[in-house]
Amino acid sequence: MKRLLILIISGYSIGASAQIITPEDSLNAGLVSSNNPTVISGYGEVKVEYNTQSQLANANLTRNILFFGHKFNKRIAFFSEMELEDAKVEGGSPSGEVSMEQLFMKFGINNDIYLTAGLFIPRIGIINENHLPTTFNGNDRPYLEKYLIPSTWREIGVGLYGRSRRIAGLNYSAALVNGLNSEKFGNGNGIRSGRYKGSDANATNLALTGALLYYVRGFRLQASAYYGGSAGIAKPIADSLQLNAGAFGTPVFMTEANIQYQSESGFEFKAIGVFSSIKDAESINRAYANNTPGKMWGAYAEVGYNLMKAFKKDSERSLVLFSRFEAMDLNAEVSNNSAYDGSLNKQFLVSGLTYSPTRGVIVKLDVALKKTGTPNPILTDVSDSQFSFINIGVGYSF
Amino acid sequence: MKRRDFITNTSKLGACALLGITVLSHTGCASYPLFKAKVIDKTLSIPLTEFIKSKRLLVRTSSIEFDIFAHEFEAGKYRATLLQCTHHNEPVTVSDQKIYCPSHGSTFALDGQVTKAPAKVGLKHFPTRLSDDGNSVLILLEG
Repeated sequence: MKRLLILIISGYSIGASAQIITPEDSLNAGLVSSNNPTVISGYGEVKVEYNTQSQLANANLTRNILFFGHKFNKRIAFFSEMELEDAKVEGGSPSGEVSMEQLFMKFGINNDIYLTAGLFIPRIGIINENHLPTTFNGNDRPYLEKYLIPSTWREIGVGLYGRSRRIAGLNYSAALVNGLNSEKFGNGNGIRSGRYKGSDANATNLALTGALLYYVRGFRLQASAYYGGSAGIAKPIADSLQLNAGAFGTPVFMTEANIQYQSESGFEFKAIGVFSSIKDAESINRAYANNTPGKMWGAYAEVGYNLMKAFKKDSERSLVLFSRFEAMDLNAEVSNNSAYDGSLNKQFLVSGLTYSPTRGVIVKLDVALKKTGTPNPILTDVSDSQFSFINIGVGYSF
Repeated sequence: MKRRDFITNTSKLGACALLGITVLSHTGCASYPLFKAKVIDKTLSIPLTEFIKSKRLLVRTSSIEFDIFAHEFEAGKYRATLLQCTHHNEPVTVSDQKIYCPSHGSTFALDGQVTKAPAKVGLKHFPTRLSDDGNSVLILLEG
């Protein structure tokens, strides 16, 4: 613990000293103009939420991330993000988490293609890859991309990223990473708790993921898919649990498509649809009794308008009025040996304002309404079916 | 919405997206020409004939790990923009209307100005000028 604290404090100290020696707003200017090979940056967010049902408020430093990067030569670079969630980590008590959100080497093949190797975030969904608080509306990340796509979803592996020379704006990526741990799947969390997040991952099972990303006429279009094993255990143990071991045994499949648009006049729109299936859910439930769903689906759509555009078209400040509707069913199909929980059929309506006084700084105010189906009292607190939150928070990224 | 409907609709959406990509790729969104140039005296030289073929082109040289977006933004006026995101130095992608960073979502106008964070600083430009004989656009890398 002592070493951990020293590490964190030294991390902040380095960040602070870098702020002194780096000219204001010139992290990159330093890199470009003076060829500084080392990048220090970060992001974070703080939130106060008020639960209108319980009439209780909660204040929390949601996360703070320190980014360190270093360029060894023009083709090889290092990237890392260290995250502290919930402000502190205290031994023996429930509190926050310190984790590496990313740590990878990047190898440029040519100007169009590069490889990543290490702990990285594959291109799946909107938030997973672009999760800075300044890039999304609302204090909380879209719920769909927490419960269904377990953002930030990072695993250890090798990734290939590139862009097409034949079609302007078309990017592609493919990655081979370690798989999931189906023992940790759970009711209401889908596959979220089955991520290894780079910590002592069982690499006996693997996953393949790929994405196409296309920028055209102001639109950002993306489609991606994931297919990976979730039982990376020894074959004798897998046999005894009646699970399929092997690289892609007991597979999890997920696919999504999303679209984003931002007009010059201030209008913005985004939408995503996700489908996931775990065909051996019955086997997983027999082995681990964790109520793993057979299928999950979800979608959301969000519209927003930058009110500042009405007054000053080229202002760096922005004030976005937005509304987002999310719907998902985290047990759209259940196996014969698991129970259906209506509370996992969720809808959210989130509306609010996102104010940015300057790029990289955000102040957020939103109201989040949640409604679910009838909870299964064996699995879920029945009072958890409907509530609303009023959230206010600030965030930064640089 | 029932699950079956959702799956059907999602499949249709995916098919439409693929169809859309195919159609759009054949309706004016083809890639910009790639011009490979050598650095001579810290300068890249692009023949004007290249800009007659296309007002926008990508310039690649082995000396720089990022391409340069060279374009004639007004008659006789040229801009050379380094396609390196000013946030975390990732390569950015030039589309028909904007320049995008796939890694963290920054967007830039074609003139390099930031239109969406997290990038705070516009893309780097290199000074340009016409050669003495008027036949080439020179990109001055030390500018």
